[in-house]
Amino acid sequence: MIDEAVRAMAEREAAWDPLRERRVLARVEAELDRRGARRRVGRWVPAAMVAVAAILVAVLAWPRGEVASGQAILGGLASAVEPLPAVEVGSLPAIPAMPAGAIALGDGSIATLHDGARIELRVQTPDETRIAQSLGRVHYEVRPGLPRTFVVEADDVRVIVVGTAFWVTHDPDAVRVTVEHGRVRVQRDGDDAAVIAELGAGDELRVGTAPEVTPAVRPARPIAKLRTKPVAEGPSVDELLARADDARAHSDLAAAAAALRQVVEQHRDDPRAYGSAFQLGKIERSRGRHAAAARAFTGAAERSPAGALTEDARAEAAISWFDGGLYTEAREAGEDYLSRHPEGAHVARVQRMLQRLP
Amino acid sequence: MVSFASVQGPALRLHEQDDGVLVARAQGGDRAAFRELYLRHARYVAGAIARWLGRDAELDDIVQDTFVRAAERIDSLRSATHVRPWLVTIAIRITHSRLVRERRRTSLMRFFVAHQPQSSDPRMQGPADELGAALVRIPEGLRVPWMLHRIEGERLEDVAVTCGVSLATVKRRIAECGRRLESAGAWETATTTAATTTTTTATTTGGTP
Repeated sequence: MIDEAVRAMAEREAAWDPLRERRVLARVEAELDRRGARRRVGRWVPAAMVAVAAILVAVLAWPRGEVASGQAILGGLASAVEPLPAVEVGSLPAIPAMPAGAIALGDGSIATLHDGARIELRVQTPDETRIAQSLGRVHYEVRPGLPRTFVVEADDVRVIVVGTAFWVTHDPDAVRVTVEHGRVRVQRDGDDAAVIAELGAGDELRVGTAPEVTPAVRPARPIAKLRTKPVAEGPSVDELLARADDARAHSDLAAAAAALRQVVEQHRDDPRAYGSAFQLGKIERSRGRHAAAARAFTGAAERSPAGALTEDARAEAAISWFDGGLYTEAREAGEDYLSRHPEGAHVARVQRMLQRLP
Repeated sequence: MVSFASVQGPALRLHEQDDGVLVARAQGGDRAAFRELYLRHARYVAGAIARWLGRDAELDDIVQDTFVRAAERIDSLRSATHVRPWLVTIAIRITHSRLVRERRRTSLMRFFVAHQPQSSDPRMQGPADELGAALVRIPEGLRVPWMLHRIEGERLEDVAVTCGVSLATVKRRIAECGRRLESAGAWETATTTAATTTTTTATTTGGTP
């Protein structure tokens, strides 16, 4: 009997797909970054304590008329090494650009600098934290639950946060925002402060630093417009997604595909249409409708060329064309994937597919 | 413990490297190499976890914990060519900790039935789940080699390297684990119950025999 139990256990498979794989990878890397930042901050604490003690001695020995400048120095130093509660002071003096390391901000948030990043803490008050990032890649772990706004400015792009963890990468011609958890709002600086997009966990957005948003991110539409757009005729996106979830829970893949297709075709402007197109591709492939799956994946990729799922969508489209026997489309899609993502997660898989083409 | 540096310079085709090269680079702090190891083995590790757990709910968390722990302990990897069983060993330990915690919790709150086994063949749910429960009670030194060999299909020689013991010791431990599981024998009842339930359902709904 134990053999039967062993066989049953060995036959179990995980519902593990590329999207899930990438999501967990992002979580692994975020956790490693977080632990690394803690270690780096921890290493500086003893030295910082000695420095703070020395400054305290100096401040106490200083003539009373000079105490104000001593407090300013202390505030700047402490905020660079160790989290402190938001202090009851006005705007702190700007901390000069910092070339590397983890910076614990006064409100308990941590900014970890990578790739030669430079940031400047422009404002830090109980109501507002404002950081200017002029270069490189920075991971921000923002302490949630505080009644203040947290803003990162990279050129003319603003990332506005309330309790979240995210990356901002400042390239020469673009700013990339990647959200790990929580929500951030990305907007263009200027008089009208146009909102570009609101991002959730797993979302990534690349914004050109030229006056216009690059075409790659055009699908990210102003939130105000999205929210005020009249609902299309027929069921709402929420209803259709609920219908799709329910159908999948009951293994009714045809009904799930129909609901998702309605989202994609009848609610093109809704941001959820992008993810729905990707899900539709997965479901169609499960149903053995490979050409339909390929079209859905292609639609997702075309809808948001810089979206978080787009690399996966391009690869899945190529594989689905192949599985459907449409080899010309498979070759074209596979080569397109390799040219766009030469170091992508699916390179080996796509290359194998291309080698198998007749 | 390894602190990772960001990757600079021209990109390499990491997916063409073997595990040994990737491990050596990851041990030197190359995050891209570690990422490639993840992409290469995460699916297998997830499968190993799912085979024991029989459910999906905690899979992401356990895979995440496994690879975070692996990154922090990659210097302790004895043989770079045995990455996969090494990762599975970590996953088994983390899964065991979770199951033990869950068992303690459910013993206090039995009405919380969170256990929802999944199997491609419903008739197989019973024995696999009972086997999983029995494995929780087996000491780690016996459980890990038995699972690596019997469930994951690893060769005895590889299991010996992964566990850091001789081939003879591995054989002895696997045999001892099997003996203890046989003597537990709880899944025999479960098989009978599951078969009976299936038959009853088929009769009630008028399904084909």
